[in-house]
Amino acid sequence: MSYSLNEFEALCKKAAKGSGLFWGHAEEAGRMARLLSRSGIDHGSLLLVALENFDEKCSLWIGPALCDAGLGLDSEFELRNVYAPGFLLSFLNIMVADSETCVEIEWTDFKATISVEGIFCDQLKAATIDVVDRVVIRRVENVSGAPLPVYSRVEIPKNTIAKLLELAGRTYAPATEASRLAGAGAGPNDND
Amino acid sequence: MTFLNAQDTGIGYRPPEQIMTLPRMGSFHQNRLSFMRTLLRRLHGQKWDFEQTRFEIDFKGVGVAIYSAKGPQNTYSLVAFANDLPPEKRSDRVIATEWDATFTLFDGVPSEQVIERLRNNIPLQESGRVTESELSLSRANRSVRLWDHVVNSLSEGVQPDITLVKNVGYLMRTTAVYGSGKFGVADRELLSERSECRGPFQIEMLTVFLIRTFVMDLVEHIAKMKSPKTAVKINPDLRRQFGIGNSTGLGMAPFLMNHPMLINNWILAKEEALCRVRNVEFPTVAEIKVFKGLLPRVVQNASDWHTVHPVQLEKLAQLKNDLALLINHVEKVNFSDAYPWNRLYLWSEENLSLEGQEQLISLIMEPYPDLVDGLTHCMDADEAKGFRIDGTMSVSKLKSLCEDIYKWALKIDWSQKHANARAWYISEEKLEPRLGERFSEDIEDYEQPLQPGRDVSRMYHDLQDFSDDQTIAAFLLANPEHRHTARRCQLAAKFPFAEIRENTIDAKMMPIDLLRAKLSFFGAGHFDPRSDRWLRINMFQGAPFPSDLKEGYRDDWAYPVGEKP
Repeated sequence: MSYSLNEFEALCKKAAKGSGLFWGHAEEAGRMARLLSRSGIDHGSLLLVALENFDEKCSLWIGPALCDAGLGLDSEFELRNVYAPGFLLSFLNIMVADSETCVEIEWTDFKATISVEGIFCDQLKAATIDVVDRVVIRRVENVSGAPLPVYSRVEIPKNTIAKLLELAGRTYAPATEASRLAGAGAGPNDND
Repeated sequence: MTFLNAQDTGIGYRPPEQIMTLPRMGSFHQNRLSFMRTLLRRLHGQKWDFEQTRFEIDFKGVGVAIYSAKGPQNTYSLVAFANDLPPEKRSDRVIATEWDATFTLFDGVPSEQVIERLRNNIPLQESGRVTESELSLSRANRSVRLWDHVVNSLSEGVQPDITLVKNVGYLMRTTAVYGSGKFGVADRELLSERSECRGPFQIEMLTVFLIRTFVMDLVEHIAKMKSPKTAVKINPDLRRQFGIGNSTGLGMAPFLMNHPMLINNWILAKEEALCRVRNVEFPTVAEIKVFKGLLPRVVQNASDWHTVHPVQLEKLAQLKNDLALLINHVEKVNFSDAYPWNRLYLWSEENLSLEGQEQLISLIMEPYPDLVDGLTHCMDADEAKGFRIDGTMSVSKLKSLCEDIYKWALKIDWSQKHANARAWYISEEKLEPRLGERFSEDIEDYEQPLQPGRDVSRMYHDLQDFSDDQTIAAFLLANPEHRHTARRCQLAAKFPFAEIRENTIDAKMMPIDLLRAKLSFFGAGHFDPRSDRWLRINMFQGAPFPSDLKEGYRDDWAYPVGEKP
């Protein structure tokens, strides 16, 4: 069953909020999950890893801070013990969106370059690894590797969608008779 | 016509504090920039071809019909499934599971195999699944009293009663028209390269425009099945009086808060149009004639507008009074003196209610297609561009943005119950936005971020703990709960009309004001609130049908002509 990217982003945002993130972080989680899926890297599973390990070592925590600070990216820097490092690809993608900057990101068995043109990578296998000891980000002159294709639909694995729906469900208020009556809806009879 | 720019004349935009208030937004009217009018101008200008390619509906009104709309580059097909719905199942609420008719706008021409797939999914609406070939998902219910009257009249060979037709205004009303990726239909970005899809809600408007044609064909078909020998068709002038109704509730209300950049672009286009017209120094005789010619027609429109809601009844009475004052005043206006539209507008601010002021704005835009219509190209938004927070901004700068844009919110005492009385949440039952009472319902834990005023006040309070030269990045690292609000505040600083300058959780807040603001941009009319949180409207009433678009198209169809069908 395929989902639209809008639908997927909305679901991921709610799942992130349902798992306890603040709205701002949840918005970022949804947007970054969308970008990963659009590039064919991950379809929700990595988000579940990140949400289960959401603290200052999680890419969904590091990424927003990186985006906010900008960091200049003049030199190489490294991050230690990062959960769901794949989301850093999405954050870097947003960071270079309006610039000439080109960055490289690397961890064990994985390397990608990112520019305004998108994400370039030859080997995606380790992109969705749960946790890595060391991530290195450095500014480079040019992109290298193959550009990742752009997909317009998301195929979410069954067990992933079930978990995302469960987390998203925590943001919904249980219905009561009072809320039904006070809700948006029409009167008791629409045979007007 | 002579046009001077605002810098020379001092006539500029109205300030956001004046525009972005709920009472004024709840008084907006359709105008030249409305999405329905944009759609029909395009269909006419590009000479689109329309065809009913299938109509297989039985005597009970059950079956499928397909209408194709062929433009210069692409063809779209409305696939309609008609249903024989028992009256007890007819509900406009979002919790309904069956409807009189369901629809999708298909990208291209569907094959037999695709039609079968759609037959198994479209009637289920949210519970079915669609692909990116489906661009919208919609459903509609009959207005029973008008439907039965029209079927019976036509089958007996007589035309329906014009008074009843005008009172109800539609044979079916849609209860949802979903697009933009919702429930699996195609994402907007997938269609962004197509000029006909770029403007806001153009796919949804095309869907409703074709639904209107289907509904008229359906009612004539059923009358004919009922009495083949005596049945007649609706005469063309009366046919145009039928619009498509729409029931809209709280599901639509948060849209304005959730899409600040888009809303800014809509309002900015309207304000730019108004500014351009107010800067016309000497209108031509023809331009004045267009304006004056519309005055009796807006009077007619107000007279055709029916509602029983006390607030709208009062506003309608004010509008009628405003129009009488306006017509009287226009007689005295010397159009030979410079900037008559500006003088007229300024007079309206002093003498008319908000309904009348906003109606006048629509009217003075009408003589100026060259000044106004091009602005429709500025009404979409690349919302991804407002996403990244500028963490290098200083705390003092963010504080001053709060003081400037949200000064109204900083003045509110948020410890008072009435200021916090409501909370926006999503109901588990149908996954739609709801507005509840914070202090009497168990909903606060589920609150959505739809109260920017209160949230900015909280952020502003916490900003006091940081020194002015610290960065927002440092502030947000320590206070991640404010990320949403900081992003919003920075966006509102770049887009002056992005933010509603009023408390959206106040005890007396009227959600219907939010609904009307959005629906007026659609081009809807005859707003008929049924409570403070849902309303019915009419779409495309008076508009031509597809077959009338090529010859003799008139862009002023939204104003009634008062002809006797």
